[in-house]
Amino acid sequence: MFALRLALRPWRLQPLSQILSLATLGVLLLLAGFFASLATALPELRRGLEGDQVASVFLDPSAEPASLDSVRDQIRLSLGSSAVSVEYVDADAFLAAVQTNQPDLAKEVAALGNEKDWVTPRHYSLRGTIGEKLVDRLRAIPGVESVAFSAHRFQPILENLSAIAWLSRVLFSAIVLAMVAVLILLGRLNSGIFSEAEGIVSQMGGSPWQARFPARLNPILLATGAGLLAGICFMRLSPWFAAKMAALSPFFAGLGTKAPLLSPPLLLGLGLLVGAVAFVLSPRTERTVR
Amino acid sequence: MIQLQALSKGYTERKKVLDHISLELKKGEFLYVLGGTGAGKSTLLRLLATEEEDFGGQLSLFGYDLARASGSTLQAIRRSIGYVPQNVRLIPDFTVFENVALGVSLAGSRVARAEVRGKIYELLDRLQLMNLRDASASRLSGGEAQRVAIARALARGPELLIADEPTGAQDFQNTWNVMDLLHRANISGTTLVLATHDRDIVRKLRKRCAILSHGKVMIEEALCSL
Repeated sequence: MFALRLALRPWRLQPLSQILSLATLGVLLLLAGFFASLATALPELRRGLEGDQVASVFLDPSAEPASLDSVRDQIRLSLGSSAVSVEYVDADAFLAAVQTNQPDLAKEVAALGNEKDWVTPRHYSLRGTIGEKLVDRLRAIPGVESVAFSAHRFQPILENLSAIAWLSRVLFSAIVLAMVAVLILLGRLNSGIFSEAEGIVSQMGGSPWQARFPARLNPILLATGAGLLAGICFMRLSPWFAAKMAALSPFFAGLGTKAPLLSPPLLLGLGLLVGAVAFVLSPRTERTVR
Repeated sequence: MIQLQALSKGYTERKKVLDHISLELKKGEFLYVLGGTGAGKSTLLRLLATEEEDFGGQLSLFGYDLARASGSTLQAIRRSIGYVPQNVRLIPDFTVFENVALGVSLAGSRVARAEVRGKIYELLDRLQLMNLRDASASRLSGGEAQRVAIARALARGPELLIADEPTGAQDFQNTWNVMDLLHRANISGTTLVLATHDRDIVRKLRKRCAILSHGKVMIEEALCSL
């Protein structure tokens, strides 16, 4: 009880400095949580994009419509259990798809009459996790004229995401280290307050541990308070934050659901952890307790 | 209980504050340490309270040689001592009650909390501090703070009580309140070492005394004849 009262002495003697430190640590924790979330969620997003490929299996123009079913069966057989959607596209399906977003193009194609079949060749559109081997198997199917494959479709974006994930990890580590450094330095600044009480406790028969404990407990209390503050801020700000991320890029739209790290209890836990590290690394006060 | 043999202490190479002092104090004794300003009274009391290190000669408390005592022995010795320093040393943002209770808590008392509270209240009452028990120590006058330090030392139920000018900032009534409490503690078995300038106290409550001058014990009497 007295240890806690002594640990809270800086709050009674220098409240403004403590409040400012708490706010600073709270903001740093929120940032650290944000970067940790990115570092956790981006690899998953990356894996999703890597698997999202498109292949167009163009059919032999001379093939009879009756043979289309056979080709489709062969394609499905080649896919096996892969999560790939297969959709048949002919001129009419193409027109229907284009109608909404590009009405002028749709009108031009429709104006071609029977020739539209030559402009928009019949093909099966495959979407999902598609590899080069599967594409080779598709090419070998009788009745297939050619296969267009979007290999490395999102490659530039994937590389960007990798860079952002890596940068997030570096920034997370830097912020955590900065927080520990801030807590240790704050401990130094408060050492005058604690050394007085340390001397009194020591003189009255307290063990060195009893004498030093309040000074070391203070950073844990401060960091835990900052974790609580960051958690409350996160609860208030998360919808705004998710909207901003989605506005940054449509790829980030579902990031909120893929970022389990950024949650109030985990921010509180991170605060506690940072405080515990500072607890272990805190220097002794200037008074030497024998 | 206390044994000093050729005890010396200096803060500079040239001048010794205490110069080869030898004294012995048995359990339950009462010793006045007298002397003018700069005679070395406070240094001697700080040494007895284990506040000072690096001294010459030998200083034994409770049979332990302080120069060789381990950390845990030193803690045990400190738990048995009640010390009223000249500068009182209270925790300013603690209340009067908390300052006294902290002392009791660190003495390792195994008495029930309610009993401790009762004992502290009784002491505060006798020292006319009861109305200030919830006041912050930073708001106390010099005399009040001194009485809190005395209450803190006495509440621990120490085997050895060391008080440096405990009545220096007290009015007549409080001086004798304090002395009455110290005397009662002595009668109940506490060994007492008290530094004072107040000759009136020494004359009225006659005990053993050691008069220091320039770091040496000039006169030592079994019953002070000032």
